[in-house]
Amino acid sequence: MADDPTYVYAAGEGDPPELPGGLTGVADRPLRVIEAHGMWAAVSTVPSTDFTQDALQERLEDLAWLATTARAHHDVVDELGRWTTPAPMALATVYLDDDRVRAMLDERGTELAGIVRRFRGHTEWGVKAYVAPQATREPEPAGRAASGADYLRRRRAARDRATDADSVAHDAAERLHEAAATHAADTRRHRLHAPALTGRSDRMVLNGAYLVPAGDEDRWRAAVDDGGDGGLTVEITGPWVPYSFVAVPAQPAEEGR
Amino acid sequence: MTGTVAPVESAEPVSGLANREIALVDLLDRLLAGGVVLAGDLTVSLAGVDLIRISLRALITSITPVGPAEEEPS
Repeated sequence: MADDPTYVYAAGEGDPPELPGGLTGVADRPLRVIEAHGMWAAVSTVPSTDFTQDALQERLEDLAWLATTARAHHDVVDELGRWTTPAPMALATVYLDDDRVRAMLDERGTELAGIVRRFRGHTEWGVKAYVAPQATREPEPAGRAASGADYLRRRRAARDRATDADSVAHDAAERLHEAAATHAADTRRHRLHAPALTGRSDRMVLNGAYLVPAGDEDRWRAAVDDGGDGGLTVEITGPWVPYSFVAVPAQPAEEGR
Repeated sequence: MTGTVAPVESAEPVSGLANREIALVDLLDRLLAGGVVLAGDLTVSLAGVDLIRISLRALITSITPVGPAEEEPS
């Protein structure tokens, strides 16, 4: 038991939230709250079998385990978000014991409190946009190429169509991003998902995150609805606890690690 | 916890990623690239978690690979 480490989901400032009883997190372990230095952290004691350095790195490459753990982590953060403003940790933030978590709350308290204040009264929304790969799919002109030159001309035309379609899709995605940014306090762009990840035949052209002030959600959504061009398939996700906005790109980080 | 379907065992593991209530890919965008990064006592490299590689491996080990990639220089 003493060897079982402490997994941290999120931290917050001031009084800890009064959570409903019986909540569990990663590995179905009960959720607890540690308070120290005017901060709190939501944690679970997790099995040392999965949470040694080597085991964890290996487990993270197991998609089923990663999925289960990510959902458990998210469920806790999401629940905390219903009651308070949490600063969410990255997946698999683990300390040897509760004392190490208290030390972290002391060392990083100012930074964590800053995140909480920035997040207060905001939620994150995601906008993903896809474009059908029509240009590359467009049927070849009827009939066989009459000659080598004809064949090459057709190939070139097909490539030009694809290039045009790419730039049209790119522009449409940028316009959609601008529209979504209109009522957002901040924005981030996540990397685009490869088709292998989405399982879709159409291609992702926008994967944005938007920090939207409470009360502005309707206006934000309306702007996104208006900002989508005909050619794009748009998906909105959220509300999220603002995971994507923890880092502040503009602000020079304190010296790393 | 809700019964999370292990994508590895499902017939369509990768599209399974996208079709859940909250798509796993959207979650991992946020949990792997977002969140507060603290130097915990176990330092695992989330940057080393290559989602595409993991999911492709899951795909390959569970179903016959989808035909060869078209000549497409994405």
